[in-house]
Amino acid sequence: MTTRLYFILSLGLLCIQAGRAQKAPKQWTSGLFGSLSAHYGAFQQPLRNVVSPYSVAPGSGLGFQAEGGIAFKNHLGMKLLLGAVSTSNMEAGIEKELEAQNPGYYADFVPFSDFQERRSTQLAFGFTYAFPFKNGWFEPEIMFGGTQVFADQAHTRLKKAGSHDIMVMQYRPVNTPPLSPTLFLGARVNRYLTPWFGIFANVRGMAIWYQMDYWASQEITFLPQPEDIFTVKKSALGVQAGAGIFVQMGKW
Amino acid sequence: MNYLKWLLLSGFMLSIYAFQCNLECYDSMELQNWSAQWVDNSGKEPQTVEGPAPKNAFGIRLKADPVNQVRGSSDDSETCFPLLVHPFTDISLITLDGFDTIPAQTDISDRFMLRYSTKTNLEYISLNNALSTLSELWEITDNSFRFDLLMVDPPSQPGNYRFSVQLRFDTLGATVNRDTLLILPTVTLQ
Repeated sequence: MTTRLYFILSLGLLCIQAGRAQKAPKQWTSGLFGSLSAHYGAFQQPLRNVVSPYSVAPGSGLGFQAEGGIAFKNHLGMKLLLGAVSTSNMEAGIEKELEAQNPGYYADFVPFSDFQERRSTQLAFGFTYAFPFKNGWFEPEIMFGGTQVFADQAHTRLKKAGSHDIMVMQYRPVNTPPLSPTLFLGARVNRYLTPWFGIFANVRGMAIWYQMDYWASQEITFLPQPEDIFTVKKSALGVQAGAGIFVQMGKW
Repeated sequence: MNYLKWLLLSGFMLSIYAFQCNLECYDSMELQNWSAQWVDNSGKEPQTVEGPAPKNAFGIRLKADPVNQVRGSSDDSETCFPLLVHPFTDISLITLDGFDTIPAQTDISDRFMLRYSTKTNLEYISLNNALSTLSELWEITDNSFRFDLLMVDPPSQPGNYRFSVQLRFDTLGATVNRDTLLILPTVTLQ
């Protein structure tokens, strides 16, 4: 974390010095851009209220992004994004959901995983358009990509009220894609501090489509029941706001 | 050369220490003062009851005092597995009056199962297979050795029933872990 901050600061200072050395005008020019930013994001949690054992998906918290792109003279641009967002672990809601699905049973959720809070990677590619103004430009964007979601196996048990009966369930994710499809819509305001370097602030809305398949086995008082595969399909909206620095690496 | 000698010696001592740390330890003990209570397993955890019990969630809790305990480790903070010096050889449940088509004084142990619950697991174990589980690795709760036998195949009709429990140990004439016959009072199953 500290190393990353030092790197960003050093890069910024270097660019400011480079910019001061030149007397070029500070205005939007087509070329290659790169940027680093920190942001705060908030996401809906639709997986919290479904049986999706140990799923870990984007949650509220701090994140980081690196972007690289090219802008053409007609103001159109292309951009590649690599980011990491904070996550939220969904295990807390499973007991309540299992009890709701099986009236008359007490749920007893048995941890079966070493999953911890971690960051979810986002990868996206998309298009931008630049509206230049004095010392900077406004840039709406649309991108398509993916958001990383984690899932793990789990072991649950439910005790039937009024009897000795126990229902034991095991879940294991199968065929779960590493990235959930994500649409990014956003905009950012960039301001040159030097002809090659500047700062920006951005806001971005996201729509994520989760789809996870689970293999499920069930025993009722230790008698195996038919196995099953079920799919959890949910969508979530999220929003991020952040700020960062950019470097223009080439101009033409 | 001296350094090499010390290095080898340190490595040797370290490996002995590591080996000792990996050894399992056992707290040996014996059992006495057996008692029995009715259990109602209707809820999430079995609860002892004085009066009537639901027949579909009925069980018997057997309880004894651990005595002559010997710590298996000199480190007080280390948790060791409990181990009975004289292990169980038999646990039998008998219906004194009979029920359904079962005559009086019949062994009905196969209608009961041991409830084996740990932090990560819950199992019901048949009494034939429960003896080694109870003799080793059984957790002591509140300084008491206790376990629940659940009646998974209850009488078809509500009513009053009488049971007895026979506990046998590999005692070889010892004064504790004596073979014990518990005649339980009449229980009303609803």
